[in-house]
Amino acid sequence: MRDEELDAGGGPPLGSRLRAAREARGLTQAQAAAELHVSRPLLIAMEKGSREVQPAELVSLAKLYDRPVSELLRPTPPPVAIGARFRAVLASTPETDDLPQLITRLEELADNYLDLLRRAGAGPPGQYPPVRRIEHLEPSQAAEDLATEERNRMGIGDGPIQLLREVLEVDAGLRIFIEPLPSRVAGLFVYVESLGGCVALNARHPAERRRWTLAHEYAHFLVSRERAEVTLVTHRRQPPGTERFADAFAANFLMPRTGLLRRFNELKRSRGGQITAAALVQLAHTYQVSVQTLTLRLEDLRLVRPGTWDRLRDNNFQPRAAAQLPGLETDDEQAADSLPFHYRILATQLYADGEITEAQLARYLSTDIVGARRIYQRMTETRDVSDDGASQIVDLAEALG
Amino acid sequence: MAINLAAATSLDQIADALHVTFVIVSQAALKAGYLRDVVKGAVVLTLINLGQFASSETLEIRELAATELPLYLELALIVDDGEAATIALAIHQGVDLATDDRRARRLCAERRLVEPARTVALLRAYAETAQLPDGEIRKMLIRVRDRASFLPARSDPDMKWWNDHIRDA
Repeated sequence: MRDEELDAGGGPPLGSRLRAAREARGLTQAQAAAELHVSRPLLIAMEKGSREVQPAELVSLAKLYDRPVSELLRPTPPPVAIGARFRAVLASTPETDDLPQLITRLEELADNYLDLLRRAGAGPPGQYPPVRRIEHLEPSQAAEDLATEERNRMGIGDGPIQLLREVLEVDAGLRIFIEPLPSRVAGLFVYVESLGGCVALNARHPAERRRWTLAHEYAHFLVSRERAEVTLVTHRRQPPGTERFADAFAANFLMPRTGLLRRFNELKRSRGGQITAAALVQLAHTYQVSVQTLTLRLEDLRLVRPGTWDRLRDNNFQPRAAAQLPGLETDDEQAADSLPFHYRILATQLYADGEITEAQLARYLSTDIVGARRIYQRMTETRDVSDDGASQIVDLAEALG
Repeated sequence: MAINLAAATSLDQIADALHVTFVIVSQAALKAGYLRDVVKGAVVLTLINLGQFASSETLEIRELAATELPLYLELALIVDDGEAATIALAIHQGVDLATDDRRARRLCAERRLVEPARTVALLRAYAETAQLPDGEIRKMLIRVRDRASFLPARSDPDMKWWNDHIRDA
């Protein structure tokens, strides 16, 4: 089935939205019909669009499905392609009982994103790189080549990527959401024609781990975007080929061989030829990855002896505690912003232009009204200095209004 | 609007002073959410419980009648459920509206409704009727600004009054 067909969900928008909302609520047609005190054929007719939904029925259905009426009335069909693409993956993914709810949430976020784009008369941002073919290639070499190629394409050299999320949202056109997922799930990836590549990262994981997962999911986007992915946290020695490729891509994309070698050698030279645990902490901070990830990468590049990480761990080395000592903790608050930056900009701009209301802004931003006001104020102010050097806050909303 | 008034002071006091009963539709009451208070340096969420006023003469929570639903759905194509229900109620039942929201105010103008009241106008009327001293007014406005993160629009006719009273003495 083509994406457009999947996206459309079949039938007119209201009917397909009613059907999607009922399914997301886990109700059968018979159960919903009984709750509504109508016959099942009548409910089916409403979902097919062959029978007009009466106002009182729509209000009752919205209450039953716990959906706002205004959402059910959106003029476009819901992006049901996301659920359809994940169904096949879920059947073969162990320990993912609560994932259907998360996929519903991802569909809801994608639906909101598409609605914002519709209201703004805009298209999704980003230039999609072509799908790369890696069949019959050795995974680690193919991953390094592709990571280098992508870095060159984006013009980001071989240094650490400070704003990975922004780079992948703007330059690669990924829609990146940060949502609380089950601890064993690192991330989700799905591609739908209407919105592009969507990634959900686990809000419960540390920022460093989320960066790794994001780079990993980007690898899937580059080589197999038609296939939805559920990335689990595993410590298997021999993961499947596609996962091995995605991990190798993440390592090379986040910590390119040449740049890491140069920084490692500089650090080693500055410490009299010695590499200490503190030096690993510093280097991990520079690349915004965990000390474990950094150390294993150094092992792969033979810059430290094999088994270094195991020895550090056996000696009760605590990366989190060690990082706190020199004041190098990463900014979790910034990383916790759960919605794509472009999504937030769209919502903020529409509100500043008086195109959406405060309650709509709150719904798009998945918060309450006071929360939406706080986000809006944060998004529309910028810190600067005045002519006399005093710190000041410039209110951009005034210029927008 | 109810959020701002709840942040300012007790809704009871404003209703008593102005001799009004506030009306809110159930769809909007559900969306009130939380105020943000700072306790020992941390932001704490304080639930806005409008239901506590429902049994008094301060606030009446209304449901839309069946005949009001078609207009509600028509408006819900443009604005959120609570705003659509509120405007439908105002049109059908002749209730005066109060909102600061630009989009909602524009929709009211398109529907030829009386211009809705604004937060600062209501607070000013309350302050003048209750003869609040400047220090109390200032504290009240700061509560609205900080607990509800409310800032009046630049075009608000009472912007000068707000600025004059919220400024440091």
